[in-house]
Amino acid sequence: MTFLTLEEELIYFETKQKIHEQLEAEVKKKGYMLIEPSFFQDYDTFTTMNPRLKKETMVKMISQEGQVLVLRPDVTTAIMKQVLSKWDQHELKLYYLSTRFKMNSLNQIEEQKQFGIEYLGNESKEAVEEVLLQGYQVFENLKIRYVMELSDSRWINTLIKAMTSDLDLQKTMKNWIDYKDRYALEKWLDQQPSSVEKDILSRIFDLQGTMNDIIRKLSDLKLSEPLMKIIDEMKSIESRIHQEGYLNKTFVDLSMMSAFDYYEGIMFKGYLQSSMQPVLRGGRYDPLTEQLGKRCPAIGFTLTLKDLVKEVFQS
Amino acid sequence: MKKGLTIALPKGRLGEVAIEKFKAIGWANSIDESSRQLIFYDEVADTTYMLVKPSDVITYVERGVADVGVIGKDSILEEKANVYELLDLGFGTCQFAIAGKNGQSLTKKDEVLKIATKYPNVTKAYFEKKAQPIEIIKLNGSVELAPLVGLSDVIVDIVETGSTLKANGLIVLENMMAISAKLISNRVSYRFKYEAIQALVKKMEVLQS
Repeated sequence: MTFLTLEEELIYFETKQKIHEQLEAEVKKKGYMLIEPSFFQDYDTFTTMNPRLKKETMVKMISQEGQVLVLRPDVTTAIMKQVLSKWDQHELKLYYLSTRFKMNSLNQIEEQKQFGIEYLGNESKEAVEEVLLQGYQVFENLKIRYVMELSDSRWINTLIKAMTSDLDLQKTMKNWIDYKDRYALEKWLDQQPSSVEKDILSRIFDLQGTMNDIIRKLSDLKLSEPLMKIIDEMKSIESRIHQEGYLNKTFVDLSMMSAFDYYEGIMFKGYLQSSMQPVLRGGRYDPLTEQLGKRCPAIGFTLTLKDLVKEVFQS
Repeated sequence: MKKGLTIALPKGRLGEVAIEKFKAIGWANSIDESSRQLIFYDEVADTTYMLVKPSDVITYVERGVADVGVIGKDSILEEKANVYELLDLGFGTCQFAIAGKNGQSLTKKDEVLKIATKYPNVTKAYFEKKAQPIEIIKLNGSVELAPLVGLSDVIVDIVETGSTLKANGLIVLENMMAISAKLISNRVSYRFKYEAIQALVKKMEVLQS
């Protein structure tokens, strides 16, 4: 942010401070405890876990012993690495106010202050709803205009795995879907034998709106059991959102992708009009804990504070 | 918030065809191509059109100043644009190709293959899959000149009819991929203006079928 006057700058910092305090107070009330994750992560481990994350966006460093490290591109991975080995299977609620680092297209290191919560050791639907609704609460409390986008990572993963076992091709297909590149996806699908999965993928970008819209668009297809289960779970989450009165700010998009491959289950992204990227990202990420040595139920979200503060300040 | 869309169109040949397409669906009638004005408001669907340099379309869309835009796949690949590619518009079709003098080999064993191009990122990504080491020489235009004066062994460029290559005694040595014009959208606008963007996509799809 640039400011014309000192007064404006001071008001901005006051706004920022208030938002930080408000966010912390909200989650502390619900039993979340503060954690400060480590700055460094092993480069090879991180890139193996997140193969679609662009390597040029990571800030790399070399330790005295010649080990390649990455300045944490993602706070969740850093926290999990820190707590999992000591975790005793009990429910654990954590929050953080930390910085993540990113190399931008001009080769400058960007520092992004993040606020987030992580809820470990509870695999119930209630835990998912608690974290998701906490995400909605952030925007509601600040009275700003937003859209929350919802999906389930297992939807795309199940479809893609049914089409091919080739990992490179799976990665390419995920990229097409991430860029909503209907043309490239259809060109490839045209050459595939017919199947329910092919039919679903050929209309994947139309599977958006409310769950009722989506179910209507799938009504002529016989979905497999795992896919039906996802639809039922999404419907149940949507009805909880409806109860809270947030349905008109919600958009289910079954073609939604995340840059991080560690989600398994619900995924959500919060958008603000003034920001170029989603300001809130979250979901269920049990596979990440497994990759780090101990599988446990885990769900959380992270929030880019700069974008949030900018929106509040401008409005 | 304005309900209608802001659309970035490239100046030049690609933009002329794009404007024709928008006019064919009954939009963009306020655009007067003979004027030097750069921004036009149209009451049809409450739309604003911006005419920008082709290489800037992606910047306007990525930063959300424009909700959607029309641009060639070549620019999307080169800029590694973080946008949605909603529709192939079916015009501006050409090929990304490696071209050079007749008989020029693309494998030079232990030697480095020198490639002149306006598209260093596309070239780098394409050759990453090959074992041949390369040196990229970034040029801003008249790339065909490079192999003739010994600046490079080959060039990577977009080829439409091949007449410029032919006039300079060059031939296509390898086709890399097909290119065409795309309707792109900003990722946040797509969420906030989904209905309006979908309406435009559907109209363009009908026009093509």
